[in-house]
Amino acid sequence: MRRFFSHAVLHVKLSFRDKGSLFWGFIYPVLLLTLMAVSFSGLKISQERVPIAVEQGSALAGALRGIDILDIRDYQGDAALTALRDKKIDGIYRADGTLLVRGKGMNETILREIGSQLKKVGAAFAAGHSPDFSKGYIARGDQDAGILPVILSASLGMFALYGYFSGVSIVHTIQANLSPLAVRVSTAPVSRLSFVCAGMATGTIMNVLHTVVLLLYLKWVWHVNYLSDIWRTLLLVLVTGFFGAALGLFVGASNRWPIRAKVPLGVALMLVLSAFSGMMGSGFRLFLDKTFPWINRFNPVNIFSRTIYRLNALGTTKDFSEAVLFFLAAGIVLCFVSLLFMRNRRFRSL
Amino acid sequence: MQNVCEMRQVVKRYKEVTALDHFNFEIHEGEIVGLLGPNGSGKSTAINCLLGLLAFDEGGVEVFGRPVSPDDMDMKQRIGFVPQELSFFAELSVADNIRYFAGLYESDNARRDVMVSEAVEFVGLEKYVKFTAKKLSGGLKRRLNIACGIAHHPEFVMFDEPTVAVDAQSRNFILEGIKEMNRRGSTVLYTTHYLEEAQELCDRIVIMDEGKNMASGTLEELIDLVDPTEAVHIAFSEPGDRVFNMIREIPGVVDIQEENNHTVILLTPPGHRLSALLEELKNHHISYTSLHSELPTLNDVFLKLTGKALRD
Ligand SMILES: Nc1ncnc2c1ncn2[C@@H]1O[C@H](COP(=O)(O)OP(=O)(O)O)[C@@H](O)[C@H]1O
Ligand SMILES: [Mg+2]
Repeated sequence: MRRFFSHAVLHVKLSFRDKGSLFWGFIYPVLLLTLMAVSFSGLKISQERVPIAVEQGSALAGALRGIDILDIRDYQGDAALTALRDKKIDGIYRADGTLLVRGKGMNETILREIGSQLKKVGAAFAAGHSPDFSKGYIARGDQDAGILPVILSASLGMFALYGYFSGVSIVHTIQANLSPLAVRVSTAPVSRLSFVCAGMATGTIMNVLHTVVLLLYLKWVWHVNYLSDIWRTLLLVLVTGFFGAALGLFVGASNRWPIRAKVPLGVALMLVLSAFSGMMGSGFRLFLDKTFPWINRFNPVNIFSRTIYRLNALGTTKDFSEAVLFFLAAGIVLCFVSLLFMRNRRFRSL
Repeated sequence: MQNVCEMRQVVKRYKEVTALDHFNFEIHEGEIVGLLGPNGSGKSTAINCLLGLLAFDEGGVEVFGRPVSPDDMDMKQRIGFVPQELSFFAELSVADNIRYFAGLYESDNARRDVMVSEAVEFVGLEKYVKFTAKKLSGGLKRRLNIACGIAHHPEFVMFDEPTVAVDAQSRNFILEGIKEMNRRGSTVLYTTHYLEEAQELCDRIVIMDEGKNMASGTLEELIDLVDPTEAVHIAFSEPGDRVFNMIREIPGVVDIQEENNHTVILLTPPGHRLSALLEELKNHHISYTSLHSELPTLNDVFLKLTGKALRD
């Protein structure tokens, strides 16, 4: 790890001196989030509650009635099933504890989350003996019931992956066939592993900083709290930033496109991924989830936004470990493959 | 004398282009060698082979007596490289740039800082150390480019056209600096397509064209190669056959050519026959209104060797 520290200082200086990366890292995300918050916060009010039925004898009945986003309708016997089929309601919580829904969609997801969460707390909650939790849950459920959090968390997911740009620029500074600067650096006795590690570490940390700034902004200015489970959220932000940087490293090292192509490619890719994840409104995402469910299962923006939403809005750690492991493992694989691509030190053409 | 670097029969092909065609050359310790050739003649390609970064197809390349290898950290520690294209971090300050590059070679911070201030002084950027690199003028950027390449006191420095698009003042500064480095012990490889620079700076010049070494040697040796002549331009008061016939008899005169409004007399060997010519003109009472003489230049050599003039 020769000169690790001077490389790290270089990367930090570059990210603070470069007006471009300051703009795209801090200002642009804040502007975009503001724009979204302003234009979509109105929709939050008009968001309709999710109509459901609860079978008589369901242990969850009491708790469910306390949740604002649920609109509980009364049906007798099979009438509830008919209503579900006729799309009058979106789900039935049955007496045996199971949840009956029509398909896959936003509302169905919400219902499933609520069901599994309630079940976890079990009998105490059903008996109404846990008013604190109930209150907390309802408050969060209320705050995040609208379309706004979907859009915000999808945008956050996009920015959480912006380590991509550090990754690309690391390769373009050290791989001699990619830029004149890299030729110059390669003529010095530099350990490339040390250079890449220093760049990845600073790139990831810088990106965590960017994302935390956004989270604080959302919390203080828009009162959307994605920091209630702060440590898990930070860990998620960290591994996502690492994954983004590794993705940039991979895109940087795997081909000879100029950096002015790789940067817009990253911008476009992140935009598309976050659109898939619901940044353009949930309609598109629902359509995708129905027709190509696998896309969002492996969409890093979606994995991030789903997990941060669950952690902080729904207060559940469901799939949290899977998400962290996914980002870590995929990031490590991408780094490894990139280093394989970068193995070559003497080129046919510079 | 030991060879600092050596290229033997090196062939380098890009897809269609043969950039180096059995190229040969070497540099001895302590020399300033100029690689002189027009754009596209393969100068940068040769340097990239010496740096160990460019794979070549045939031949051998050695630096410090060892075949070049991109993993030879000892070699990298001892060489310096000033690239043709500006290669520093545009967003960083002058001082930060030089400090980073010097730090790649010197891990002791105190020694590194000495190197930085020496390099700043060397290229005359004292007033600009805090400037962001991209805000410097073209000539000053070139100086920074040089400072980044030489701060670590390399034994062998390669300059790839360091004065392209540089004002006259910066250019002189740069050339003087390179001579000074050489006096302090660095061996220098300098590529250029400016004849005057090669002529002024270099102990030895390699003339390069289409990837080949056309000729090499000191300026005098090169000029001797092309059976050179001195051109005396005279505007006679009364030109005519009487005058020309008389001149033709003078020893050393090879040819007489008439140009628009004057006569050109070619003498050989250059530099030794002019006074004899003037003496004869006086003896024969031949008067003239103007006279000047041109000694052969590198451009004549170049023209002879490659069939083209080396002029921008
Ligand atoms: N990366 C490359 N790919 C293809 N051709 C190249 C490349 N680099 C240089 N060439 C060609 O090789 C020849 C020599 O180029 P170069 O070494 O840059 O010349 P010089 O430095 O003397 O101007 C030129 O014809 C140039 O077009
Ligand atoms: Mg060149």
